[in-house]
Amino acid sequence: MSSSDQALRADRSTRLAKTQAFAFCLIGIVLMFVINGALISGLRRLHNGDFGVWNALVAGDINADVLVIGASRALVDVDCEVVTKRLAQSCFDIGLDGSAYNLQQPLLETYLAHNRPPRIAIVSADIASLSNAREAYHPQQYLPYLDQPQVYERLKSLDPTLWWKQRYLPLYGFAHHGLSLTISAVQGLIKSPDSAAPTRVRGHLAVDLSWDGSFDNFMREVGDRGKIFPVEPAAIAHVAAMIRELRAGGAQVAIFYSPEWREMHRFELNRSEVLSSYRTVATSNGAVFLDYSDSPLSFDRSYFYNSQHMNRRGAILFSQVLSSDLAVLATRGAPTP
Amino acid sequence: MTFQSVEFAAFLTVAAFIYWLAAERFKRYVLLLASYVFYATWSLPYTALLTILTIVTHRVGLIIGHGHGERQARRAVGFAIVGLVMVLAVFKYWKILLTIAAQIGPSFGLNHSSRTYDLIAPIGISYYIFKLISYVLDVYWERLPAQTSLIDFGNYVSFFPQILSGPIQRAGDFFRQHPGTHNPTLARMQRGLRLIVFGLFQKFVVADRIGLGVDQAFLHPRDSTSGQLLVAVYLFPWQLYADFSGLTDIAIGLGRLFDIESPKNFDAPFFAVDIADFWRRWHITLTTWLTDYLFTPLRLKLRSWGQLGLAIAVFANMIAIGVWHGAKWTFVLFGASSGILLVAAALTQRKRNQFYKRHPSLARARRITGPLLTFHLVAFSFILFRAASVSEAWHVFAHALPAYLHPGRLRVAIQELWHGGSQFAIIVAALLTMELCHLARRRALLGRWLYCRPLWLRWCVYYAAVSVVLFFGIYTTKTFIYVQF
Amino acid sequence: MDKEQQIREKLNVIFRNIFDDETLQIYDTMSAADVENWDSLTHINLIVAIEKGFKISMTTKEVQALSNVGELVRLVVRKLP
Repeated sequence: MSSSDQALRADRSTRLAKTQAFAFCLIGIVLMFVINGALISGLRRLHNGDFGVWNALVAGDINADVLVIGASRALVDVDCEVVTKRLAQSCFDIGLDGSAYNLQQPLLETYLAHNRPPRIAIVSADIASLSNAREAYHPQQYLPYLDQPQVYERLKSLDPTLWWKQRYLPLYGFAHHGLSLTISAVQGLIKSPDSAAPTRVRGHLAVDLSWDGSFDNFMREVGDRGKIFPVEPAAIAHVAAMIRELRAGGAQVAIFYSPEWREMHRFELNRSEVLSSYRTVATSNGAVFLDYSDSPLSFDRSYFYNSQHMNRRGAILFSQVLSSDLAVLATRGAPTP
Repeated sequence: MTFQSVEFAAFLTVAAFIYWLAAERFKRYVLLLASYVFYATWSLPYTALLTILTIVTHRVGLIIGHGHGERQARRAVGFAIVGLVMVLAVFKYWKILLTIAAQIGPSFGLNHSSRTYDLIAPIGISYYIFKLISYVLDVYWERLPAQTSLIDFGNYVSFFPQILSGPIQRAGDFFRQHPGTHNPTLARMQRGLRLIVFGLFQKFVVADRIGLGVDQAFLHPRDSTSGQLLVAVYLFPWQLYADFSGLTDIAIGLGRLFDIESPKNFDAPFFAVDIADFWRRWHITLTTWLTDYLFTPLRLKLRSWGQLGLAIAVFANMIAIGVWHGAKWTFVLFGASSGILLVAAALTQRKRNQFYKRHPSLARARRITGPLLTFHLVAFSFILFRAASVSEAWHVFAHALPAYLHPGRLRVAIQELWHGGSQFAIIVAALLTMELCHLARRRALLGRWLYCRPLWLRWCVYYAAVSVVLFFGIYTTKTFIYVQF
Repeated sequence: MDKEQQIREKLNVIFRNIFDDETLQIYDTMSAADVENWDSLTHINLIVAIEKGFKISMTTKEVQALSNVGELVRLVVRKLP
């Protein structure tokens, strides 16, 4: 073979190799997008747990008459079955565990974008919630819903690059959040029972635990000094905004402070400040403030599994009390400011 | 930028393409620019430090190498070595120096302010200062002609795949490859990319997953059961190995994309037959560096002291290894304990060799008992390496031992540390895969297993490997262990 | 030439002794990679034995500059009176 033939051969094999390399990369990228899309759709088909609630929400399948909004205390303290039966109106709980109002507001707005506005809406108040979250708790739950503009914008304001990457780079979110998320997605795809996630009945999460030691740890940490809980105007502004959005849809709105283990009160040094902040934001926006922190339920430890959260039994009892008050609210209408 | 970030992937793609497409005479400038851009993303002021040290050392090399006379050469070497070691010492042992200054300051009339200055050490300083020192000594000992081109020298010092955490390549080895002048072959690029994926696998699927359990035991040793502590002691060496071997493999793979072959850092360390053998297989570039530039010169100076000289040199060498990692008593004690073990091994080397020559059947058994014993010595000395303080190290050691009497506790401990059995099953599978790959590389088996297979099959394997890295990797823990050194 | 040959033979004896190998035969391009037991520890023993055997003294720089046996031979030749 002449040397020019050899050179031609070498040149062609280099071009072939380069074409192969290019094809490899291209196919790889396409595969990433395809698999990413499949996994996301798998998550969107889940029925249980937090994903189940999100999926029903964006599909517009909830359309509740009574809507419960808030963080973990809203999630576990309000038994929506009880409320539904008592008020003869459908009740649903979109409580977002570990969140603050700056993340609950976009969730509410997303809810209202897909579902009809509720007739009654209650927003949970907590001693520690008047402070904006700096990052999202359980961030993996947001991954399939980054196409919801209000949610995405708020998350981006907390951490721009992280959430941009999760939305636009295929498989980035699945790599970042770990194997369990991928497994959930696969379960959704093959429609196997999502056994890992606890069931949320009408959005309510019933906790079958009795008193654990976390309050004792808290007491040891804080000692006799007690704690001052921050009261941030930015957080109050989110609450006000939520009330206004709900009222604009024609809802009667109440802020409710569900029962809290009595012993906790002496560690909450600025408790009256927090309560009055809630009361003020409620009344100045046409809502009611329902304070159950001193209710008889707060004195019985068997209704709680820690100082802030009620267990299944406590939730049932509290929901009965709450339903009666909501019934009064519904008939009386919003109080005049 | 860390190696696993999306930003780095983007940077690498851009840098590599510009390098490959650049004209031959510009490639070295592209490489230098890429390395400096990479370093600058970590810290701009420290980039200035890197630049200054590079320029000064380059000048010193020229003075030594270009025949200005032995006396001037010796002064230049002394100045460079002392200066470089001092820079390293200041940045690494800043806190200790401050504490000492605070204690003796008042007697000189200096009142120490209550503000504690926290100096973050420049990234990669332990590595590039060692490169600079080795260059100066190699030129002085006439192993290497002085590098005239500042650009090429700058590339040696700042080469971005190696600057974060090694491997510590020798100047001769680097310059012999005419860096920054040519593209890698496609085959070499492929080998580099494969190695990068394997490195990511080792770090994120193996090391970080082991770390989920082991870190917990070492962070809260007093809250851990003896079973948990013993499990952590046995698994930490594997975590450290996978972490650092993974990091090294990523570095070597990256180097190949620019047609630079980097030295290896590990050689099946847990197959070592004795402790001396272990240190020839673990963090090879660091140990050979210390051997060539600390141990051998020191041993030569002390050669008239016989066995005592040997013991001192070995001991000093191991203390240096310990202290190189940081200014903590645990590292000093780690070095000291390793030193004692190594001195014992060195002093008995000849007798042991003769013994095994006379008893060949025992020599065969030694191929199994040797590594087992060595692994135990290593695992227990690594407690000092990992624990936060000397008292915690002692606690781990003392409380891990009782678990030997209750082997049933180990299974419980595994369940507790990794929250269920499935994580641990993944760890075992990943470890076996990792060791299988290491074996395949050592015995060049991949040619038979993989490279001769049809294209579509190879591509499936590569896509599967990347998928495993993406889906089974743990990406929420922070940095590589060895980047902080 | 005769003197160098004597030096080589004497060196060979020293090498065989230090590395415990009676079959060892040195040659000019031989280095540490070619002998099984030749590591940083035994290297110093070799240097000490050579200094004692030939009654010479080598500096650190001279030792560190050696890269193979050929250079060692030439160094010993230079050092001998």
